[in-house]
Amino acid sequence: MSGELLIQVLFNGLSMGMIYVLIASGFTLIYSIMRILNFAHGELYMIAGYITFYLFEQAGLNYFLNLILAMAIVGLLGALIERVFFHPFLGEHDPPLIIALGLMMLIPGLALVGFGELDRGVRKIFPGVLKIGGAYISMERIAVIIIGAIIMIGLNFFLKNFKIGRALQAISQDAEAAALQGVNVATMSTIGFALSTALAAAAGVLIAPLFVLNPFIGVEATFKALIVVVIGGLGSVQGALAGGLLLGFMESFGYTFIGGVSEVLIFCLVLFILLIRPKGLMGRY
Amino acid sequence: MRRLFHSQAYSVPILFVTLVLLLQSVAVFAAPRNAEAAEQKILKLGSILPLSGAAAPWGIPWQRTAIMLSEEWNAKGGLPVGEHKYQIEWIWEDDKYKGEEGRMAAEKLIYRDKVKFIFGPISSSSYFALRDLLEPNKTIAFINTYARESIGPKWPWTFRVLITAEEKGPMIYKEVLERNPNIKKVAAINRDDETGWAGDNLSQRLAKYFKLEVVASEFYPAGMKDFSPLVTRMLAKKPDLIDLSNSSAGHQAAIIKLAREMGFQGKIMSFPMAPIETLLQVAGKEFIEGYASEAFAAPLLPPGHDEFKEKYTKRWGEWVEYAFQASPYAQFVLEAIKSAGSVDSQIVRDHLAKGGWSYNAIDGERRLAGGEYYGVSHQVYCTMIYSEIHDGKYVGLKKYAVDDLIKMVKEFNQAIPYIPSKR
Repeated sequence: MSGELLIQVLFNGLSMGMIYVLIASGFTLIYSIMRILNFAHGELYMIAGYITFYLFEQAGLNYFLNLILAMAIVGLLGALIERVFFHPFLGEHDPPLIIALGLMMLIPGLALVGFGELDRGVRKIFPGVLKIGGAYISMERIAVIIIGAIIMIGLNFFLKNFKIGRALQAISQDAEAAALQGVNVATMSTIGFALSTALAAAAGVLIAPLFVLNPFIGVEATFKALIVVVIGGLGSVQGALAGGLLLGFMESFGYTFIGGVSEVLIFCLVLFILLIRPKGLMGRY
Repeated sequence: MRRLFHSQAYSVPILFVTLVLLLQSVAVFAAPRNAEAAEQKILKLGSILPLSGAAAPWGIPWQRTAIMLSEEWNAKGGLPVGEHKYQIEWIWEDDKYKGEEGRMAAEKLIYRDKVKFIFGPISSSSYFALRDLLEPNKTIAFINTYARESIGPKWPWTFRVLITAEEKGPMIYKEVLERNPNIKKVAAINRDDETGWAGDNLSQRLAKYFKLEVVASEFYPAGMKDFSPLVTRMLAKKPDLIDLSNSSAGHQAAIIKLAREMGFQGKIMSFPMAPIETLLQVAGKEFIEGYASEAFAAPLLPPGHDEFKEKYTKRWGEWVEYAFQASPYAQFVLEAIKSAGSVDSQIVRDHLAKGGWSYNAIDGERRLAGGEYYGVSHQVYCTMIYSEIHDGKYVGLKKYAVDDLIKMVKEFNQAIPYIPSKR
């Protein structure tokens, strides 16, 4: 293996991994607070991609302003979804699961009607390519890694140092004990849901210039998020970080050196991890 | 009280799921039907297309052009067939480009709706899953699938109304190589499904025919978003030409973008043209320069193009160039029935199976041929235009008439006979 190929593969793995981390962190956060596997998580990521298409690509809004707006809009949408669909079933298992599956089917159908069937794309925000040791590193992907890392550090800081963040962590550890300490579990659940969907939005905005946008990209994103949290451990943001990066590197090395069959090998590895650590690498549940 | 609360609580998700399914049905099957047709003779046509999912950008323009065409006939009093005029009524089924959905759709159309003519499917997986239903039920499928084995003597009730990679491949390769004589090594990339396998098989045969070395033959899963590992693997083999083969528009655009970012400076081509809007938005103008495929493009546009574009845009609010190519497919179905002079599927099938049947579509003559290498003349041929993208636009560079195309495909198939792929 040549040095340039190794650098390329490592970089591909890191950028893919960071994308998975961003998608999966919100997914796992919802689970840790509400014990909901939100299968519609990827749909909110898709909506953020379309917000970027309309506000940044079509209307010419500043990209970073678009990022903040998309996180706010999708966060509010998440809060609304939580209040209308999930809130009545707080603490229950089956109804939220069915609702999440229903939303996963409904939202792409509505998006098809609203956004059209065409594949869309968003122009480059960070043009240019760096050539390092013979490998080509796109500035866009470097930006995704850096902004993604900043978001993850920010999330960690928020969860540890802010009152709301600590309340969310308390609920994720023991909701009843948190309630006894005066934490309003219902309100915090809505805030947690909004925060996690805002994270999905951040992923959607960051990834929009890299990939193709269509109403059906959400399902695949949810599927990847599920794999990541299974590897990393349900309910653990650190687990999502570890799982996302591990999946990114596995895919990068697998597809480059083995080809399409690596998809099967990745599932074998997931099974192996579950056999030796049923809760995932850093899972609590 | 708690029991009551719980039963109410559980009824909400059930109602919600019902609402979801209802809304989805409304969203997907919102095609207009002709209510005034109740008293008149009705020609019921079934359709199996991907109306949702990643292949919807293909299926929806086909649906829309079919609707436009039937609206035109219905406004004139109906499609003249023999001594009668028939109001056309479509029954739309969405196969999501999946085999099991296609099978279910066909069973509904054949057994429930008693349909004898099916427009579609366009997914090889979908068609393979349903084709055994056709002959016993005397139902004709006017398919648009790319897999080579879709038509043949074993499937006498199937006609392919789309020109596939098998027909356009030799023309595209010939033009690309004549214009770029330095190309010696080719890398092919395809989706890992029947359509992709057929594309890879063709690319391998074309490379042999034109004396090129195939340095990479890659397959990717349908849901793949990040192609960077596969493109890295492909570029490590140093190809001169990337053959995107039968990849969908979105996948093509994503691969082009990555390959150019990773320093690939060679030629890129595909068999199905990708809409310019998608290529521009995803890959950007600079990266798609020189991309080669077949596409109706100025200065070789057929005369009816602009008028059709205006009508389509007025009816649906948005223009996609692909709609022009899709337009003749539904016309094939209606012209075939009209020309047979009967709505009896046996009579229509026998009429078409004679071979050489042709009609004039918006883009010129369309003719059934291909008996020499498919075993049946159930393959449509039409005028093709070799095009490249220059300065962010498709430019038509050479026109191939139906006879030229038939001759070229025949010569190619005689030189490199088809052998089914191992996948």
